[in-house]
Amino acid sequence: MIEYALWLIAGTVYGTVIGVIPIAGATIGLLAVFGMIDHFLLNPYLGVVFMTSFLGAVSSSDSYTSILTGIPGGGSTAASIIDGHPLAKQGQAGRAVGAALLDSTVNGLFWGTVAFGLLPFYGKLIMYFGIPEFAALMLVSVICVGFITVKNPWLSIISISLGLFLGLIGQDPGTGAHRFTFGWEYLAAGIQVVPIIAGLFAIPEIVSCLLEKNSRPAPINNYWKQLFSGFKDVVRYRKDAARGGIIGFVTGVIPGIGGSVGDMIAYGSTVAIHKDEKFGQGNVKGLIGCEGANNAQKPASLIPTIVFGIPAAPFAVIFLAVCTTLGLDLGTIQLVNDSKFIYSVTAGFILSTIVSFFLCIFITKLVVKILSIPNWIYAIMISIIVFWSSFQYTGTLNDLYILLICGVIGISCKYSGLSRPAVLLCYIIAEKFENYTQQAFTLYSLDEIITRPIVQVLLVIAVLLIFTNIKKFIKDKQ
Amino acid sequence: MKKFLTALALTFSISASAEYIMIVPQQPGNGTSVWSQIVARHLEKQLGEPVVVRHIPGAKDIPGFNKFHNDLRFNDNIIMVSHGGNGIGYLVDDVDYDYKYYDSVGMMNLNIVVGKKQGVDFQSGTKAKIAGSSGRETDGMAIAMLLCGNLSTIQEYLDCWNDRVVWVNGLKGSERRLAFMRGEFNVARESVVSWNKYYTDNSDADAEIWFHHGVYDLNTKQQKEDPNFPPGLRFETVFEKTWGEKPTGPLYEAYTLSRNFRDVLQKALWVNKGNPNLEKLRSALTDMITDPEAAAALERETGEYEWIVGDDGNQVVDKIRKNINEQKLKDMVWWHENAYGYPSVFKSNLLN
Repeated sequence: MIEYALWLIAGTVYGTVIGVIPIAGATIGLLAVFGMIDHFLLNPYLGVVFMTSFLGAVSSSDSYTSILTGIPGGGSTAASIIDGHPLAKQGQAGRAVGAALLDSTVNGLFWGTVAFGLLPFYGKLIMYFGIPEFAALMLVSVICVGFITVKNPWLSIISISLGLFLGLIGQDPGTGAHRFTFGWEYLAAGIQVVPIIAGLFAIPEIVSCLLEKNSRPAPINNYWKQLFSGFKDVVRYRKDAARGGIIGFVTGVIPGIGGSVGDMIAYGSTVAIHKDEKFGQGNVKGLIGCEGANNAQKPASLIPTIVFGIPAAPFAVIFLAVCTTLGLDLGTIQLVNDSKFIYSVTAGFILSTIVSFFLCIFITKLVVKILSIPNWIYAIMISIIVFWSSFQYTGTLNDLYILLICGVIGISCKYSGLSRPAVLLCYIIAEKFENYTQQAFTLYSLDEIITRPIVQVLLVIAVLLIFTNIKKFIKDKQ
Repeated sequence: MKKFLTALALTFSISASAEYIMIVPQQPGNGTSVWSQIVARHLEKQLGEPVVVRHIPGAKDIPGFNKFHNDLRFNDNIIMVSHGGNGIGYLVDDVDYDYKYYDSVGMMNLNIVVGKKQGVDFQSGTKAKIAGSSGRETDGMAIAMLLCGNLSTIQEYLDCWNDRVVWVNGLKGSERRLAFMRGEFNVARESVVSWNKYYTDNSDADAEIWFHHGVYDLNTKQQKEDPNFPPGLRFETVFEKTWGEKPTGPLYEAYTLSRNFRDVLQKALWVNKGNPNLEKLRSALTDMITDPEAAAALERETGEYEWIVGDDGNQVVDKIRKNINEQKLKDMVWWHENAYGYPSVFKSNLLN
């Protein structure tokens, strides 16, 4: 029990620190888990507690950076900048921090309970999904990720294709024959998830971090009074807070939509509801409307990850990979019915959300000092995490070569407008999609597959997604 | 230069304080990796020196073992951990490693259980649907013989296999179990511990044991009953009950070759021949086996199976290597390619 508590505290503290560091965020922070995986091998539930407590904490503390410096703490807090940073510049940083913290905590606690407490119920769904249903679900996920995260269908197709190609490197699942390895034996086991995530997300952000000028954090005056004023704002504008949470939860469940997209939708809906008010100049409702979305999105994204093994967000890809490495097979009835796993996930997220709330209240002044540290120091810290985590796979230079290649791909994606979440999620889904499709056609005839009701529903969704996105693109062009 | 830097990086990463390093050719979390962690923890106590586990994963778990063969075995502190899949790879894949260059520290012959849906009668013509993958080829051979009886040529077995079996690749353990529970497969295959965990007393699984492969008897040099199961479920016994005669023929010969390399070498520890630490390691392993805490931990992971320690291990390897002959090996390679579609190579250098 003490061991669980220690890892929970470690995850919470680590999550709070990573949340504060500009550009770090949940995805990059979780990469470090690969560097400590040996500690969890004999008791994988400790790893689950560490990861979920990290996620609970990082979702709360990442508001600081957005509010105080105008730089997103993670991709999912970009919307908080729009009204949060002007509030801070107007001398109301304490109020903005208070509103963000309480909003984040309440939404995190509520949606965390909904998501994890009902996992055994969602688990019953698995028994309705045979191999053809899983194949169709993978198809919908690929389309969802590719066509919703990028508006231009050509960029979508390129992002999907690139992700699928990266995911198919390695061995043919049917025969074990090598493919797309270009004679490099190291690639026969496929590209590992750590260099892909580090290359797509961390390296481009490290480059940006080095290129951008430091932004001085806004000063905090009259902190405690302002903090409680922010708390009162959340109570007063509770409908905005609740709406943000609902939007975050719904968008979090859908692969590729969570994070900054869910945050922005929540912010947009707040603006739309309060038509007569000005936003973008320090309206606390704007901050409250979007801040909780991020905290609701994290547990929501873990639902399809745990129930079906389909990660709905980049951070969930790492969660999936770590669990697989630890012998916890997500997407199986055994795991969804494993009470120890459910308790670990729930306790990690819920308790860390509470602990993080109090921790953040007392470290705000320290955070201002942390945010004054030059960007290049953050770049070095994140580089160490990235290189160390990547090096854990084989411990050879091959790990570093593939990291550099993935970094080049990530930087190219960032500056060409390709969707990095789409590339990542398609990379993850590629192998499963191929496997399930091959298996479905080995076990069943085409007639048997397309007459299954769930397959039919999923195929209709897939066609509608493609059709509506192309139609929207044509309309936007006109 | 590249090789040097790679070795340097590996050496650096496995920590300067580590006295012994167990190389596992898999990613952390897989069966052999977990087994290695348990052995390392308890072996360390007996040796009084640190033992760390280092993973060198790669396709079909071959690169790690190749790296041991080509570089690492010359370091006296390196212990290689291999599993049954490496034994199959030795016979049919293009690999560098070769057991004749190593001394056995110790090995465990573990058994594999093949089950089926309760009440399914394959003799009535029902097709066997099973999830296949590397390491399960031996089970496929046994299933082919149980469904088809004794046939004279390997081609006849293949025709029967294509008619009677659906072999589906690419499923992970958990996916296979789920598909079996949903009824998409009617044959399941597991280690003994996994069988007990997922199928025994699980009414949702609706499974019964069809057969198991038995374990190697050090005295008779033959397969014998597994004490973990009631008698009468060993493959040969079930075959005789089904067909009224003992299994014979080309596929059975290939099966015995495959079974020996997979099951007898299911979990094994190796060092390079002439390693000065060999006797110290064997002695520590012998002490570890008699330590009740270590024995209980291993039993939870593998079931109740005996260790083969010391020179006995080398003799077992010599024995099963001598059992390789040209026809058996050719049939095994041919079966892998044609029944499962796995690229395989015939290696004449394995013949005695």
